[in-house]
Amino acid sequence: MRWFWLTFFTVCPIAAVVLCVVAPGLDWWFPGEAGSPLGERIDSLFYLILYIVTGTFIGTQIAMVYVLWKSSKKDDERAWYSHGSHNLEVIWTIVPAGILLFIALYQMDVWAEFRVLSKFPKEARKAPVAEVMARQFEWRIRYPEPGRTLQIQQQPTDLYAVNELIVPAAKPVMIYLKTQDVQHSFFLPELRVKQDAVPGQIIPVWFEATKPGEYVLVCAELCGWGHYKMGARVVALAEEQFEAAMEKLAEEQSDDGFADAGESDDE
Amino acid sequence: MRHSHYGVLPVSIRQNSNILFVLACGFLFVGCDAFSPPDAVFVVREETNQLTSNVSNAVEAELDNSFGNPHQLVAWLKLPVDFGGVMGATEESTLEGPLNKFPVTFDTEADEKFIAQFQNDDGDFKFGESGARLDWMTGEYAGKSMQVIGYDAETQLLTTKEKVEVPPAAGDTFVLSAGDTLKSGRALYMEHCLHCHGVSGDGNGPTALYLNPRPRDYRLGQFKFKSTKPAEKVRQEGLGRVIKYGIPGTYMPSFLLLEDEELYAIVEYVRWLSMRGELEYRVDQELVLASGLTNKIIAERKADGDDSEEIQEEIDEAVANMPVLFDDLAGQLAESWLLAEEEGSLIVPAVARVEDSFESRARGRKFFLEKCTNCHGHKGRGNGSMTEDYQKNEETGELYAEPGLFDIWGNSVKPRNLTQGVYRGGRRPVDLFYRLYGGIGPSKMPNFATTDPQILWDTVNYVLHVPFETPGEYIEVDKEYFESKKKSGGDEEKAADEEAATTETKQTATGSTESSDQG
Ligand SMILES: [Cu+2]
Repeated sequence: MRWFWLTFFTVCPIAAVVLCVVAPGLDWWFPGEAGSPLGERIDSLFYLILYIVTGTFIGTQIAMVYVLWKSSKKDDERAWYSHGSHNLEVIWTIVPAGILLFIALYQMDVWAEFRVLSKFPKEARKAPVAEVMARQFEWRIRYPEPGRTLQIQQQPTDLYAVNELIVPAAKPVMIYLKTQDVQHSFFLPELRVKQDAVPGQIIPVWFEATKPGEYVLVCAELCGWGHYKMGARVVALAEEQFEAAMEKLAEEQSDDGFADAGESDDE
Repeated sequence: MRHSHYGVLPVSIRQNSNILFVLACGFLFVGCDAFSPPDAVFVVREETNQLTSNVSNAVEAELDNSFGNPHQLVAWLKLPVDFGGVMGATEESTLEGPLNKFPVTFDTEADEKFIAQFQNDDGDFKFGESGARLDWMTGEYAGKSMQVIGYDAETQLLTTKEKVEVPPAAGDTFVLSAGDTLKSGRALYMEHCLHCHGVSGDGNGPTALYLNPRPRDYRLGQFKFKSTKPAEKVRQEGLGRVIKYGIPGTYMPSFLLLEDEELYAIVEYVRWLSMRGELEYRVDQELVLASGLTNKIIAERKADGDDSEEIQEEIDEAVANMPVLFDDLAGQLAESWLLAEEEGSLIVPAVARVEDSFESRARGRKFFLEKCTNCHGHKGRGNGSMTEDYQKNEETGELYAEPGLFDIWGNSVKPRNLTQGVYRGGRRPVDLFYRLYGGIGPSKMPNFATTDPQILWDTVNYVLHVPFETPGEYIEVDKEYFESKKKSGGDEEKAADEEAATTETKQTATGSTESSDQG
């Protein structure tokens, strides 16, 4: 039985390390390439932490397996208890603290750029594209009329949409995030954006979709029984197409049902 | 595609119920069958339960015949619902029996559907492992079904698994994979809609209790937000818009991410549930109001000394007559749903939107003062005098227990607070025009179908501007309106109105123009 457990506890960490190494190649767990420049930097932070953790894991497992095998051969020797050793306590407090401090300082730039309004790209900050209002259980979106800037207060000329946020691609954009009821979370997994919407607050969020395309928008805060319904999309369009889409939205929204009366043969 | 032909066509879902059964076993295995969901059933109306037992059983049996149950739907072709499937007909055949090949034709629309459904990328026709189901509608084999296993595009010969001695006659019609749309509508409805709107569409799903306003009960066949004239039903397209874009101000969310076919399937399923519910409602109305066959009325009659044999005869007659009653009422229903889809039922403004200007909004304001303030209040806050009066229940003739307005489902409704800029039926000018022209029948908002469309557009402009109104913006307009009212009769009611308006202005206006409102 002793040999069984020895082998078991040796094989498990080895298998874990092997899996960890082959996982990215097999497309397991890893969330694919980030669709935004800041997302790439967030990913590199993630990988840095992963490397540190992997190194620590391998180190501790080697130590454990070594102790396991070494002491398994000595039946008559009593175990040595390290509990209360001042030196050891100091070492394993200072080393992880140092690593954490390093991570904390190292990620500050990225964090600031993601979260601190004054560090947002200027062009995004100048012209927020839309207000995104989360509510149970959908995303209501308000755009300024093309050529105008978004105001905090509703304007008579504003344009409205639901569950589809259209933004220009390849350029930083900012939205105002609000919630009408409970807490929700604005989550763009491909763009590595996740921001809680908090009742009573207007939270600026910026992101940049490198390539035109459709991106998933979901709610990442369990907000009620219909939480799963809050699936929507962000559509990033090349500048010209974006403008055309806004014009189209403006036209749809001013529909008076008269002009197209002649050829309306809908369903 | 619309079926006008009469026939009953089962839509099998045996496969699905097997899967459900397997899941239930899983729950039993871990010993927590208390968590297995309740079986899906179509509930019966309260009115049906009040009928005397023979009659209510007959109603239930006939409902089951015509609509089935959630596990085994019945596509009743009398109803104008696109149940899905491809309709075709046989051609003259020179082949001799016993045979399993028939020449067939499809009309253009059906041909597209047939190709889209069964032709693969290589141009071959494939019908799945067990073949595609074919139901004969007319001719020798009407009511029978076969399995289609092949099709040859060149000779237009359809191959079935079954061999028959007598070939189907030329012109016999059939449906391939009938009920497809209804089945996918059911699956989607169960996933997205059931928990609020309930299995039967009675607006009483498990989460409905927590919602205000309550989810729609489709079983009266009435919907609030539609683009059709006051008396008409909702159009497919109108329901589709509501599902796609949601209803802001209520718990109905947007289902924008559904594919078009999915949306269409849900619309058809909801229409079907609505027809089922309304048919039961109308049957009950007939049996309760016209025939008086409820337990209560019969007991009263017996107590009054009515001949019980005579009563029994009436009951037997009603039971025997049930299929005919269903058929008649379904025919009427079908007509009204079909009518809604016709071009003439759609509201089309006779003139283009009047340009939004102060003058236009001022005219709209006057119309608003004339027609809307009783409910929506002088400031459009939805607090008109009607919201504080006790209203009469039209069905029972008695006053409601609570003050305020009630819709046809018996739920309390609040006139919209127009200052919030939330428009449940959509915020396009045409949406607001629909609301004014068509009214919102179920919540007792009157329609203004006969009003000059110019005035309606003025009112639309006014209503869209209410959230952005500056204090006292219409003070001159209001003054002029009330003065002209006074001159042209000066009845007390209007004077009271004016007083109310003035008081409200005093309480709420923050502008300096307030004092000029003293009359
Ligand atoms: Cu949410």
